[in-house]
Amino acid sequence: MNGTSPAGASQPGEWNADYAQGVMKRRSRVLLLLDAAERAGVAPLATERLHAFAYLANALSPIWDIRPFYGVVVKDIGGPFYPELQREADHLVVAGLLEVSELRYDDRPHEGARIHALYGLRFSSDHLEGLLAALGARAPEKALDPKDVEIHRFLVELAGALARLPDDEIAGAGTSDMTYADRSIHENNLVYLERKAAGRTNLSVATAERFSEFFPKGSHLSAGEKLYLYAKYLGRRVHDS
Amino acid sequence: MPSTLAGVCMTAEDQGAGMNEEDRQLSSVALEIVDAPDVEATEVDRFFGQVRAIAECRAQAGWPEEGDASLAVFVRSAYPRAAAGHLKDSKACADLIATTEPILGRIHVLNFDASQGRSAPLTGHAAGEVVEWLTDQPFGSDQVIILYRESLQLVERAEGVAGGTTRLEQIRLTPPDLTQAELIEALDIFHKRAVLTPSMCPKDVWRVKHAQQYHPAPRPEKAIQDCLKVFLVGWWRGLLRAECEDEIGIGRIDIRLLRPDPVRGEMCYWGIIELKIVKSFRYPGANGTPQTVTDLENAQVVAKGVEQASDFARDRRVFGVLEIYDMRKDKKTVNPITHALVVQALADHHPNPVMRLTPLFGSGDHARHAGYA
Repeated sequence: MNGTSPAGASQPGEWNADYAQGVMKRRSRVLLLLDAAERAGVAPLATERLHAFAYLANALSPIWDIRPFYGVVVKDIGGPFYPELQREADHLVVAGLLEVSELRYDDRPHEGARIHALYGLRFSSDHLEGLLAALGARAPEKALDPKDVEIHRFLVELAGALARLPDDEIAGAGTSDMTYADRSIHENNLVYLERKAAGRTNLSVATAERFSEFFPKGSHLSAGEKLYLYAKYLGRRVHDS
Repeated sequence: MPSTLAGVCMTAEDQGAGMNEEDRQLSSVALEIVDAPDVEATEVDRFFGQVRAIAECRAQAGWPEEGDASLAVFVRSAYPRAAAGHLKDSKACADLIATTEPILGRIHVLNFDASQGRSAPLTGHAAGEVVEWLTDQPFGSDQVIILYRESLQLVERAEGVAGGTTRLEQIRLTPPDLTQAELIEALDIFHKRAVLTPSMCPKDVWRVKHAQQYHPAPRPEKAIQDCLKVFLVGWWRGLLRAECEDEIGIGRIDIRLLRPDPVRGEMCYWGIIELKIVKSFRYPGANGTPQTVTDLENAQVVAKGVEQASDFARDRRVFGVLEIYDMRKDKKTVNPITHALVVQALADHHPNPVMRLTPLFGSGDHARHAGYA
């Protein structure tokens, strides 16, 4: 699951410094994703929308010159899903940092199941404000790592772009994404999300950058505008599918 | 929705002859950049622009499905769900431009793009009482915009309802034309509303506490450029895109105006605006003594503007406007536009831009004495 990603490589059970760091990174990622979703007004997020947002944040981060948090994901018929992020989201609920509602299990093939719920930040938590500040979601000088401020900006802009889609199209945007929907990648195979990886080009980024072809010489599109246009394009793909 | 240009409606079939289906889809989405939020603007400007788009869209459609309510309130919140939690009977709301869900008689607590959030009824609050009621709400310093249907006005309090009015914009009942005359009107309105006096000017136009002495800040062009770009994006939302700065071989152009060309399936240049400042003083550094700027130096600035605007307009086959903001203390004795250097530049460079000398005053009194109400 982790590949070349910065998300930590150890497995549960191997409780060591690397694993602990990976857990912290994944919990931080969940908090930042939900902070962005709250700011964009689309929270609480249903499970599939949370994972679609997490996926698109990975797929489109090269537009912002940021490496994907997860460089690969397994292509699944139910759409992008990150079991590790899900586990940490549930831990954050227990820790009182997230609130959950409409909890249920959705059956999956082979006697499996996925948790379905609505996730949002639990604003009444005494610890949330300090954590978000440390993660770059407040004034830049409060961030523990200055790079997190830029990551947070990217996530908020992406959430804002997706927020312009009708609610039912946000979840579909993950499976309709150019890279995820690439027919040459079959189910249960890996989808690579670096700009270029494993001999493949990230089609989502390549498509977003193609919008510049329709602008005259000397004109330019900002990274935020590319996100906005790509989200709009995804909305059409969802609608047409 | 099909693209419109100068009243002509283009269908999807017209777009990008010779393109394959994927190109046509991408081109069609790219042309919708004119509807996009201004992602490079501040959140305050971005939100105002989107609320203005909602208000004008509803007003131009004749306020569909609205009852008798006379006002609506829009609040920009960092966390709309949390901020609206205390409002009675609140519900989710989204995409107020594309939908016809009534907006009047309601308070909308929205994200930075005014695209998602919560709304609740404003029951029992008459126009005169709503500000008082808002003051009692826990919105703190969140930006508030009130829409008045009868007077067709948007009144903004960017620093919260307890702060003063920061912007007052008229809701237009007809969309603006895409003409040079409309551009000149837009520049006139921008001048009177956004830069005429220090109290309305963006910061960094005048040196702090030195406006009355006519001491400009180090880069007033940049401050005005950013503000004008935001204004033009709002003025022509849905029709035109405004972009800032361009480092190219033939010089830097301050604001480029692009329109969608549905037939060719691409954005194309419509016009350009070159901004120049003429002034009486400059500062060599933060704590330096102000130095006098000569008439010759001001004329050189204007002549350079003529050259840049003209060359770019010729290269892109569009019209150019040279907007010269006059920050001089004495605006009467010398007209920099008639200086021999400028006259020569006009003779040497074609097409000539539309040149305007637009006065900025170091105080409200000076503006009033010059005849501005």
